Amino acid sequence: MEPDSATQVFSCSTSTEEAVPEYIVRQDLTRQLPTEILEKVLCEAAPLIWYDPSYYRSLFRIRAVCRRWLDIVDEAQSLWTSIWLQFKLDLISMVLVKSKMHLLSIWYDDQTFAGYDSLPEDHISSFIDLVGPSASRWEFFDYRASSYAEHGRVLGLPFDNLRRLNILLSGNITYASALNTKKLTYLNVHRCSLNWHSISGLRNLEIDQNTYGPDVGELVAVLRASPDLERLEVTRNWPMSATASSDSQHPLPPIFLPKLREMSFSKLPVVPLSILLDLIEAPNLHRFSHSMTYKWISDDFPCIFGSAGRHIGADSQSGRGGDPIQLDITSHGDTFGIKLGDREIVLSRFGWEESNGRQEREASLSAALARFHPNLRSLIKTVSFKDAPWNDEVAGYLRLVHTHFPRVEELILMVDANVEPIVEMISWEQETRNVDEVLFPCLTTLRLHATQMGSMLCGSSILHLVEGRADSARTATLKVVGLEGSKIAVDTAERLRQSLQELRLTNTEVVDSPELIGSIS
Amino acid sequence: MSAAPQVTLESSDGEKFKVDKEVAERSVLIKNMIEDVGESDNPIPLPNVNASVLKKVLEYCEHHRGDPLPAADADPSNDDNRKRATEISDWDQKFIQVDQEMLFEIILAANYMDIKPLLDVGCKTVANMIKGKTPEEIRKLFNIVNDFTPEEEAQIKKENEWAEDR
Repeated sequence: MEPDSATQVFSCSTSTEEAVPEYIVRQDLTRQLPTEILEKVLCEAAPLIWYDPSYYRSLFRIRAVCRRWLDIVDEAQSLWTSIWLQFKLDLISMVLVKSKMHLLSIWYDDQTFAGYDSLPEDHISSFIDLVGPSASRWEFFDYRASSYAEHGRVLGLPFDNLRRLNILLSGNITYASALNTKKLTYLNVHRCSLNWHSISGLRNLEIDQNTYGPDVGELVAVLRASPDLERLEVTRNWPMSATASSDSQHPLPPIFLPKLREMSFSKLPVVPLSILLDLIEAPNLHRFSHSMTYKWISDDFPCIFGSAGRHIGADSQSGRGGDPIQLDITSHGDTFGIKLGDREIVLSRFGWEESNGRQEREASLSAALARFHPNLRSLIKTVSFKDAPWNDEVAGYLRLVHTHFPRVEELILMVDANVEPIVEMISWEQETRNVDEVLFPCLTTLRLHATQMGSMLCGSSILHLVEGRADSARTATLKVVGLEGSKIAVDTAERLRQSLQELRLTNTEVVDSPELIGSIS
Repeated sequence: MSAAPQVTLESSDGEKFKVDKEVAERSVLIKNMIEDVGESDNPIPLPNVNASVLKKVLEYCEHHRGDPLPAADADPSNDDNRKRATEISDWDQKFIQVDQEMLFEIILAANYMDIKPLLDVGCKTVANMIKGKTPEEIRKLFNIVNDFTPEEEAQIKKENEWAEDR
């Protein structure tokens, strides 16, 4: 129902004074509002955009209206809580006074403005002198500094109430002193190694492009001291030497992180990360991502795939109310990836195709699948293979997946290769010598997305597959076949329609057989 | 099917409004009064709200009768909460397109009757009228008298310069 229009005299939603007939407004109606309500209005009118230094301009306009508004604004501590390095010192002093005992957000950025209007060194020094004594009131600190900044003077402050700390430096440094951050829960570090053993109680940890640390032992120490951690992201952290290695005689105890929901790694050395992943127990993990790019390093990729596979195929994946789960395997050029829901590992390796890439990929897939929880054996019902350029490689993957997940009901093949040999491989006829080895006996849906010329012939091989499985008591009957980007002979299509519940043809031409053969030849 | 329980509200100018209890209980004040007094046929007096304003307030409560009640401990620093807090729905925007006098009356009634979502809508609407305007434009809009002394005005002007770009 539309609002009652009887009392709608004019629009006052945003706008202009022209919309306000003067004969209606004869008195200052804001005087009727109790102070706490007017304060609420003024706070809305100058919303604290805590990351926007121009916020104070709108606040100052409001406090210049009349004495009552000025008093309300000046008494509202929560409106005076953000301080930026580039502020004039008078304004910083004013904010420090008016914020009283309220917690503060401090923005230090000596780089953003460097290219435009450089901050004089004496301003930076005065800034630290001015805000430093209030460090115990800092709740948020965003420290973006050039490598020549006075890090010790800033990071050594007593951050008694600091909850969120961003350190983003232009060059790598090590700050070896312990941080005084008893209440820190969010830490984002870019190009700065810290005294990691002094850090605990985190809920969020992001590390990016650190040259000098943490190594895996230090990272393990932080994680052990942060049992409530919810999010972990480590990117391009090169010094992850394997100092936390365990042996069979003295295995390291697991790191139990029951609240960890998101774990993301990118471009990290393989062996130390494998150690870390093997130690982490995250029963409530929601999202896992690990991407690697290696150009020169020869490393133990099956090892990292195995460690990642434990998290990708964790038992928590089976707790989705019994919904079928799709496993995606991508192998395209230099990239190989395994994905299950919101968890994945992707490895990009330059020059892989020319070397022993295929063996490594197959071994990696095998290692990952072997670490999937047994509960997923019956839940993975759909498997998709994407982009594999060689059908014999896909054939290898199919065997591996079948070994681990024999209950797969749907196969999706998106390949550049001639799919006919792949189809023949899973057809009944190809496996009659050993009935126990027939692949995917529960298969009911097959979807092929193929682009190469050879794929045009796939109609007949699919027909063999469909008819062969329909005649067998040992396999399920195929019900749905989808073809995309192909051609199929008209008589083959007709026979498939008779045998299937559904034949889906997308961008697939149905042509006469002689025409099809002619176009291929 | 039995009819929904109803209550009668009485405005400051003596007009009575019979409404579903569920609608009236969007007001925390009324909800508490009903809980304290128990079921009664006597009208609930609202001495601070006149009939025209109460009618408007009840229109709001009727429209939002099924909405979840606001959480008392919603964290304003949470991005989702902050986003919700700055948005006014299309219906609410249309509802609150009233003259200034009615707008301020609705805010006062929402405050008195403890209807937080309506109070928020009212405050945001006034705030939107203020945003982007100069002090003089704001004074003109609300008929506010500039009561600063020349010395105070000079001080404010000086302080305003602190907030300008370096």
